[in-house]
Amino acid sequence: MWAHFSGVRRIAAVALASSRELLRERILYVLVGFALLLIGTALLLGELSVGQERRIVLDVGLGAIRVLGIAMAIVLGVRLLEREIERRAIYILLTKPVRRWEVLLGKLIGGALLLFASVAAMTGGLLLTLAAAGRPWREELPLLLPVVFLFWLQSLMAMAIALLFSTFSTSTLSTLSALGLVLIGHASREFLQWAEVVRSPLLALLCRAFYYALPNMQNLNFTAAAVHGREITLSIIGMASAYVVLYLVVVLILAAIAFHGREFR
Amino acid sequence: MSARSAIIVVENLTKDYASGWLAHRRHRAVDRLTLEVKEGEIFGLLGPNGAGKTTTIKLLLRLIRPTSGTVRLFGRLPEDRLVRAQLGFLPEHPYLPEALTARELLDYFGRLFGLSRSDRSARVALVLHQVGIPASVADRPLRQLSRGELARVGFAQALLHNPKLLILDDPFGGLDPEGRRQVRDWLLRWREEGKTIFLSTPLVAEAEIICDRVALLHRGRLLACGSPAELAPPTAQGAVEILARDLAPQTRESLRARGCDVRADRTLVRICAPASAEGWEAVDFIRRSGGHVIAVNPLRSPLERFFEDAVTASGASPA
Ligand SMILES: Nc1ncnc2c1ncn2[C@@H]1O[C@H](COP(=O)(O)OP(=O)(O)O)[C@@H](O)[C@H]1O
Ligand SMILES: [Mg+2]
Repeated sequence: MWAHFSGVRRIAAVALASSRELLRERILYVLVGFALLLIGTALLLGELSVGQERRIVLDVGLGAIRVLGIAMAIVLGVRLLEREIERRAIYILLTKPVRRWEVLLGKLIGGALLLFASVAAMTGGLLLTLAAAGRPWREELPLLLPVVFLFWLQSLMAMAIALLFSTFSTSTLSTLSALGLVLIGHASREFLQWAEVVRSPLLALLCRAFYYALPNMQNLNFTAAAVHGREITLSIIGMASAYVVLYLVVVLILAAIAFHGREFR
Repeated sequence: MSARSAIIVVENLTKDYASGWLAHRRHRAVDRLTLEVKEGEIFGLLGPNGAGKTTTIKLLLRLIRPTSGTVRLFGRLPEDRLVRAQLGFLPEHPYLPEALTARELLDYFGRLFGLSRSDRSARVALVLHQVGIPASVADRPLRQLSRGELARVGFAQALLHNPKLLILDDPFGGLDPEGRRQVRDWLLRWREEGKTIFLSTPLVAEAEIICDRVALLHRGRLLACGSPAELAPPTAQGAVEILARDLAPQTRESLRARGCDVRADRTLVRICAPASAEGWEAVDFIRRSGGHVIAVNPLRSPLERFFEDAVTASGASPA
């Protein structure tokens, strides 16, 4: 009992320290600032197209939050671990009485907290923009909050993938691979469709395997629904959360296996 | 010999690094190393750069896996968390997360050891004080610290939880003579407190002063192990270096005739005598001839000479 409790404390310690470290990364502010700039630009675009302000501000604003949230997740996800490995600060950490998987989980939690704060800041920017456009932003909250929550979950998948790659690869390669996987993840439904049409059962199996291995980004993107004023039901949010949690657990287990076997030469 | 228990036991430890395309080339960095470190001693792993000291330490800490052989710390596997709770490690260069301040870093590590909030703040303040890091430095991000300050923070994190065993990879690296003297004092004090210290260094003379026992490592092989006095009893034999001024040309010539190596720049003359007896004679001679002796230093310590001989012998008869 005590052992589990102290494990939780160690994970919390790693989470706290890594979110602190990330909070001091300049790139974080660059990306958040860029997102706010984009959202602000949406206001100008909206003014140009009379009657379409709401649609344009939401389209551009949510798009910016989503894309930059994922970009942030990949960049920071790689920094969580690979920077520490490349600069060999990991030597000291791994000689402390902490398990390697606890380090991974703690770092992911720290990163997740930071992503949450960033997504919240960007959403605040979007609400301000809506208010500036003269829209009743309070009325939009029930539509917007579920959408950005799901964006956060998306970015968590991207971050976990970046973390997984950085357990065995260099930072450049990890960034590129994670980016590639996330991009293909936007087309993961295609793989399911191909699985139906290909003749060879082996190929069909492979397509299905890809479908499940790739982060299913499109299924978590409800921008269109929000723009058209359709509410996202709680059951959708619940299912999406369950999917993401399952995905994170699998990716973390793989990362823990890779990290456990890694030598620090 | 003594009844003190062995804290580190290494048997037949071997590490091959794979390199090259497809990892087909193998390079043996540590070769069948066997040694024991006893409780309460300062043990020095000596050897030139590339001898395999850092590799040995990484094997002790299980940062890399041995190709063969075993490591036991406190009678347990090195990855055991009970071992890690008793162990402080200083890496070769103080690699630390640069964005954190020293105080934040130590507080973080204190949490990993399960220290309570009040224990943490007390221990952090204590070790920062012990290594001479003032509060103004402790609250700056580590990337703003000088190399010497980083080295101190490195020691502070190793000491934080008052470990029984310290493993220090090149604790004198990158320090000026004053810094080295201070580290020497710390090491002796920690031994007084009952800690066991395993350190690596290429500085034989430095280790000779403070280590109870040393192991001489060369190309991954153990050449000798024992107390400095056992391996190389102090003698009057060593070569000496004399620094002098105002030497007439004929004085230099007659020093050369006595078998000394004489080199002069515009003001200073450096004379190397083959052994201390000749050295003192040379000093008398220089004084009688109107020259000024500025300093007399032993060129190599007994242990340094022992080491050089051992290396030569091992090169002459490859095992
Ligand atoms: N990561 C590595 N990969 C391949 N060879 C290595 C690696 N690290 C060290 N070596 C080689 O192993 C030998 C021992 O190195 P090291 O243990 O760092 O020596 P020391 O610490 O005594 O200077 C050297 O020949 C070095 O080139
Ligand atoms: Mg070394």
